Amino acid sequence: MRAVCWQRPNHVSVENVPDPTILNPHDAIIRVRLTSICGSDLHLYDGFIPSMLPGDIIGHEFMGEVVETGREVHHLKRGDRVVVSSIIGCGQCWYCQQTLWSLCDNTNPKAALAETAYGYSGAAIFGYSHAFGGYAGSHAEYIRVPFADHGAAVIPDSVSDPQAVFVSDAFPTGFTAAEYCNIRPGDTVAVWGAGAVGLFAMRSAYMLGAARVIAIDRFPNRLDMARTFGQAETINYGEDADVVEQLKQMTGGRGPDACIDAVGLEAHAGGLPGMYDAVKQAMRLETDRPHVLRQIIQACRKGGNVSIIGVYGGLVDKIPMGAAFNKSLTFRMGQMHGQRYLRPLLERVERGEIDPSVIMTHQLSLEEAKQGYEMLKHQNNDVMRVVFAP
Amino acid sequence: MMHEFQSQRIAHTPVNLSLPERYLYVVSGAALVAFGVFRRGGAWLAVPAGLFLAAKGMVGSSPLYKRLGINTAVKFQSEAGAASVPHQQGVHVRSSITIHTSPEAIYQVLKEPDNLRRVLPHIQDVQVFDPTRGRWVIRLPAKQTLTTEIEIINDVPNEVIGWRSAGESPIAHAGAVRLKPAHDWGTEVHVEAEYVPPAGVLGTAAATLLGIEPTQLVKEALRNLKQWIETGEIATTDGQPSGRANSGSTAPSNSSASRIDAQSYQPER
Repeated sequence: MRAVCWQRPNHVSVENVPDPTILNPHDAIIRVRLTSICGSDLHLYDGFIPSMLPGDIIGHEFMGEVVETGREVHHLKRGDRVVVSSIIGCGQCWYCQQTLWSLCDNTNPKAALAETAYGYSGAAIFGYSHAFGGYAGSHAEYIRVPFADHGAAVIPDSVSDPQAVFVSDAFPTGFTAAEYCNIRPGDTVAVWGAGAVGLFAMRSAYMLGAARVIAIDRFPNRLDMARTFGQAETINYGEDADVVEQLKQMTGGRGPDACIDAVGLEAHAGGLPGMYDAVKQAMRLETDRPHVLRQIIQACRKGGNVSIIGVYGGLVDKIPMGAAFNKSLTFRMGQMHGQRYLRPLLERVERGEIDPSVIMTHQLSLEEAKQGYEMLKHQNNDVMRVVFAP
Repeated sequence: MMHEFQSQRIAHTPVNLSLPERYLYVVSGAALVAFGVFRRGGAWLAVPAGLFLAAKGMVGSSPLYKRLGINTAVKFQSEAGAASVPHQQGVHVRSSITIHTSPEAIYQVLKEPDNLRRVLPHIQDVQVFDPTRGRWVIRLPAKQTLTTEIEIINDVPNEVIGWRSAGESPIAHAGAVRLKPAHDWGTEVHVEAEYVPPAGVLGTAAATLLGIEPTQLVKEALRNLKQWIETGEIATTDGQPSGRANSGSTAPSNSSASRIDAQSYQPER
């Protein structure tokens, strides 16, 4: 089959590789119909996620059709149209049974590697480095899905492929970010980053009772999407340099009740702080650029909630801990627990509460992988999400 | 059998030379002294050197061996019928994991040789002679194998299984698996073991490079055991496609691959 392989930073290639086979009894093989480039794939592309090997098949957000099932797969059959959670959960360990699927004990075959970095290993993720299991990813014609009964949900007939694909990762990730906000009716939620996850976080915040959502970004097309799809007021941090002051004025001097970091480790910042982090990251003195997180801690109201959903991988520097402590902020963070959200979010799509396909701005073939990655990296062509149809 | 923990430290005893080595030291030391005394013109430097070697042979201790953690005396002590791992002479291994099931279920799994074949890393065969004796054949690199006989010396159902090496085992080892209920988490499985590496720290280092270092093996075995009991399968990517040459057929095993990665992978700082 054809598959997109990571070769080195800023270089992916499309290769002929063997078709995947059933390796364990709970596996299914899925023919990929749509698979997107997630913002977090850019961290791989840019070379900020360690433990990648040349030749690794990448991609983790996908939907497709079941073509084969292992002998212990009981809820799926050949021909089912399914969307698959990007994280892999066994369904049996203590964490999975608490629906904390991204903390699964059992799915990372290279747990020793993750333990070296993080103390304990969480769940594996498709196509997301060997520290996260080293599973072959979805930018391919076929993919092996372990524990498919838990990770794959059958898509209702009335939900189209482009509507379903983001239920794999971006939508539940945004929904999780909103959940981390502990929203009370009437709350104001500020969202840094109007990419796909940020946009879904905005819609999810309204679903969970927020009265106002304020989006912070600098790309005009993203701010447009935040206003239309995200139903948010917007701040262009390229124009309004003092985001904290702007948010203060927009909230009667109180600050947002909750702040979502939907940017993560490759935040852009202007001026001295931006240069500081860019230099330190380039010198590998810190792995992650936490500019957004610093600003959020400053901007959030006293006693407010900080929700971190943008990916961090390693170490950050100069976190204003004093502000966080003395304002009694609540921090919640982590990967989304995909299996918990597959069916509920598909139902919201089916009921017409949201049409996720709006963010799919470009559909390419697998052969155009390089263009897709470059387009997303450089934000050309008003791109929001690039989706491959293998 | 178990004595108090000495976190993976190699303990030392004064006697770390085997009997043949001690004879060799004494004889060659005496020869050196004789050479120094009787050589025409005298070779007086040889006398203290010879005395030193002879004394070393008689005392039975080698500071170099001590530094390297080599103890060739152990084998003879084992054959004399002492415990398989003499007091203070083993490398300590300690690992634990929590499995989401009852002690009874784990105990049943541990007593079934088929399950051991599944969860023990690098295992080629598990043979059972009788309820308390068996033999493990472990795969080594370059198509070599290591065969060790196991004797169960302590067996309290649902609580503890203790073993030691027996008969002709190239590595002396002993240990215990203990099961402890852990509320809604399931059961804690604690493994404590000791072994005498064939060539001290050099042997341990070599084993680490070969991916058969016992601390790693115990951790991996526990992880496999947990996966097998909780999910009925052991997570793997062996045999999956990649853009590397020969993927899917000759991919390295997960275990050894992960160790190679672990060595080359450093969290950024």
